[in-house]
Amino acid sequence: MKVTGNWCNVRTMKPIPPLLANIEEREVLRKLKKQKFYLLALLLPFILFVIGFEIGPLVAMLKDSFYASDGIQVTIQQYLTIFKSKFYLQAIQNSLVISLISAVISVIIAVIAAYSFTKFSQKIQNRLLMIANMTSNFEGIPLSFSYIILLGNNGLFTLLFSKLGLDVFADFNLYSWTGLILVYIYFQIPLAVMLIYPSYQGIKKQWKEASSLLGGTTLSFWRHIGIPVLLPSIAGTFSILFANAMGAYATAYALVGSNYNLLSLQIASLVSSDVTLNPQLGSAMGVLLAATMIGAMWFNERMMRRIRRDLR
Amino acid sequence: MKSSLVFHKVIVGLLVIYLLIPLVGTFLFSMAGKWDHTILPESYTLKWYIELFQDERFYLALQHTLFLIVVTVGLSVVIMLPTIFIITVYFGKWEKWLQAAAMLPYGIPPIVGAVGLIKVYSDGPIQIAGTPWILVGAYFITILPFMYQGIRNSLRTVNAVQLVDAAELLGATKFQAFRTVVFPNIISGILVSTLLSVALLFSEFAFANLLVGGRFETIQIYLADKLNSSGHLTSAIVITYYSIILLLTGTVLKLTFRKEKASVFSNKKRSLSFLKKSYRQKNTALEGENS
Amino acid sequence: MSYVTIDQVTKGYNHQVVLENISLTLKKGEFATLLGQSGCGKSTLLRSIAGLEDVDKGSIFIDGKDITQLSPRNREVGMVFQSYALFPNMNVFENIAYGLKMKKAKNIKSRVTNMIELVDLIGKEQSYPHQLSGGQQQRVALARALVMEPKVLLLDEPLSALDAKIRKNLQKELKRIQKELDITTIFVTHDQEEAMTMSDRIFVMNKGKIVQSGSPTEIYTLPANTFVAKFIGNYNVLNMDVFRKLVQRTELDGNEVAIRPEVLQLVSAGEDHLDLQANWGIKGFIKDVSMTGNVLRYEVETEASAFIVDDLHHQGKMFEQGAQVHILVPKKECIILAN
Repeated sequence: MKVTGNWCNVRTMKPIPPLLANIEEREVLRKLKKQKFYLLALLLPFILFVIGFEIGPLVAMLKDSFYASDGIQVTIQQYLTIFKSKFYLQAIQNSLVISLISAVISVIIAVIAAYSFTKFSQKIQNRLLMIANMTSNFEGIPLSFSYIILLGNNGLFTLLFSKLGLDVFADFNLYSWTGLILVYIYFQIPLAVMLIYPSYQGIKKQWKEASSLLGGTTLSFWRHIGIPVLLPSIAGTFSILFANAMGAYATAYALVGSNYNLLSLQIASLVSSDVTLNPQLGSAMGVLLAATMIGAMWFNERMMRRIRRDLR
Repeated sequence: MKSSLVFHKVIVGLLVIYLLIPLVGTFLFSMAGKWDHTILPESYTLKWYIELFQDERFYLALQHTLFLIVVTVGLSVVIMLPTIFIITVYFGKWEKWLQAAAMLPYGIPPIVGAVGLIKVYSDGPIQIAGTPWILVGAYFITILPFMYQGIRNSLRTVNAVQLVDAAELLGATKFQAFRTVVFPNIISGILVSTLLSVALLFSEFAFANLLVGGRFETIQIYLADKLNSSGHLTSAIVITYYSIILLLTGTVLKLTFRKEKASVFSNKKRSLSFLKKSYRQKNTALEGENS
Repeated sequence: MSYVTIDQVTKGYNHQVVLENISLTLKKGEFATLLGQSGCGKSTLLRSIAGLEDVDKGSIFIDGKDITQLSPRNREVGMVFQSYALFPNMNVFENIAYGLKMKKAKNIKSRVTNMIELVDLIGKEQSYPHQLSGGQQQRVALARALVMEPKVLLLDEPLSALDAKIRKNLQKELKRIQKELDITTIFVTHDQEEAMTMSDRIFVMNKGKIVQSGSPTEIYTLPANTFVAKFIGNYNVLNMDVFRKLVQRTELDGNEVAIRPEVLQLVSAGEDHLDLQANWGIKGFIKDVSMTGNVLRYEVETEASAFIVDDLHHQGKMFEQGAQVHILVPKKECIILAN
């Protein structure tokens, strides 16, 4: 290898006369290359996992969504099917409505609850966060089942309400989309509380003081300063809750069964059930669901960036 | 100001009750003898638990779940530690990609991931669909955000790059530095992610159901099966594995903190600060960058 | 006719006395400073005047009205915080207009624009707080308080977070605006230089009490007690017994004596034409010389005590370390402290 320029011995840091530079330099470079190669080799397992179980399946799903149900023809037939089918459009609508409503209600409750948290001592706040943390994991089958115990046909509260004469509540049907909303709210509230709570730390006491000296009331403070400052955080949290609810599977499965017309349940039956197997259609729906999720995450990221900029 | 504290106490109180009732209800149901038309159980019994602990299938399911958890979490730690360290210290430019890859699973619900996984592993060169191995892969990706956040935050907290630099100036190689200076200080952070992942994987149903179903029955699959036949048994299962998770978290906490030098913390404070860490981690994971 | 009256205000917190029987009066248009170290109660007193803290005993009057029980929004006072406390979601214009909006005032636009001109922020109306420098933010905070035409303007260490140069500028600006609007102002700081530059009157506070009040000149040249003497300037404060020994005068009375470093004169030990009518002479040697820009600070060691002697940095004339000197102490400038 031709060498130009001045080289020095790495060990002694003395300049090398050009004649020897060739050999020394080759050795140093070889060592560095070997090190880099060794390092890259160590990164390989991670890369393999990511390709094999994260990127690969996504790409496969995307690709498959553009195939006809025979698996050979390339077409956008699957997407057309979805948008022409009343049934599948209903599934999308159901998922959207349930996710939206449960997210909105959860966020509102969480904003109020998180604010109440801040009124207590640090010790109590930690305990409360602990409870929120614990219960945010209580998702899926156990959650749905516990609601069946409480609000099912023979549920604890169902019986209680009918005994108290509150027939409106007693006739509540848990196994409907309102039931789903109720159950979804349960696991979304702790998550929302944990996400919104930190942003209350950003509300400086002195803003409240300045506002009151300038003639503002508590209400006007929250209306003009508090809520606007919290808004990006609230919006971001909302989008996460929404995405979370859209993708929920186990909870719905356990509550309303695999045939209920929900986007996630329909995808499941399209790719795994023996009767309605249509993996390409399932892929197309999966792509739509993934797009919704990624859209929500991107929105949240934008909101987060806005907070960091505004509040320095 | 003082009267409104009552208002807040009421709100928080209602919230806590609301959150704890389903758990309490499940617990009661697991201990209930006859409970058909009354508000509270008519009689209490342990027979459901006895039935559960005599069920071979339960132990098999537990075994399967634990196998998946141990293998996945173990693999994750062994692979993620060097990966994150190497990228942070050597290939800083690629950190953005690492983060993107690590946080992506948040945007892919299991149902979506399952679609692609089935496609790739059912009729391709690697046919692992239906075997536990596809679950190991899927679970690895599932816990990726948590492991990544935990390890990366720990590295940042101890200022790993500066520690390595300092160690190098004192004569160590980068790997010696990692082994002796960085690793011992990040163990507690890794532990948080690990325990979070364990709890998560115990509760994972979607992948298990769609990718393997009954062929490798996990606790959740077993649970889903019993859901339709015996409600009491279902509650007993739930309470049991929740207790296992609680026990696991507790023992690991006790073990780690016993190793540390006598600190001012009491046990309670330790577990609180630990849970605060896991809360903060979940938070940053969902909120994205938060430095 | 006093404009602001504080009458025997007392406040305790956690069984500790934070303000003890504070009484003071201010004239309209006066610029008063509460000066003291951290924890002396100056901020608490300010916040009590604003209504952000309750008082246990005593009353506060502004323009004849008893405001002690009123909430902050009804007191007609304006306040500028150390951390500016600008509303981050509003731009400069909206921040300044906020109070006027709350009051549903008329002519909001013209009033805000005038104020922006007064604090010299023209062109920044649409900027948001995070886009402004510290000095600019503080000016917005000032404008926001002043546009309400409050009866009293309160400033809680508003310049402490700023760089030295900007601080000096803002001190001048603040003084100019205050004089122009003729608004009664109470200023809190721990920086005595700042207090003396800006105030018409200074109230020195220590441990919840006012230990001396007066004009800057009075406070500086006539400290009333040891605390003030040690706090203001760089007074040499000596025990009277020690001083008597040094000047060989046993008939002097009092507990302590305070002497300003800049009134002391240094002459070489060899000099003999010393004016010992007006001065006392003390023998010593230069232990240390330091320079703070325009002042040469000598630490002079004598047989019984060390003295700080300040001299303006004249060219050429400078004593070296170790030099034997005489300190000339002007008799008139010795301030006797009874404590």
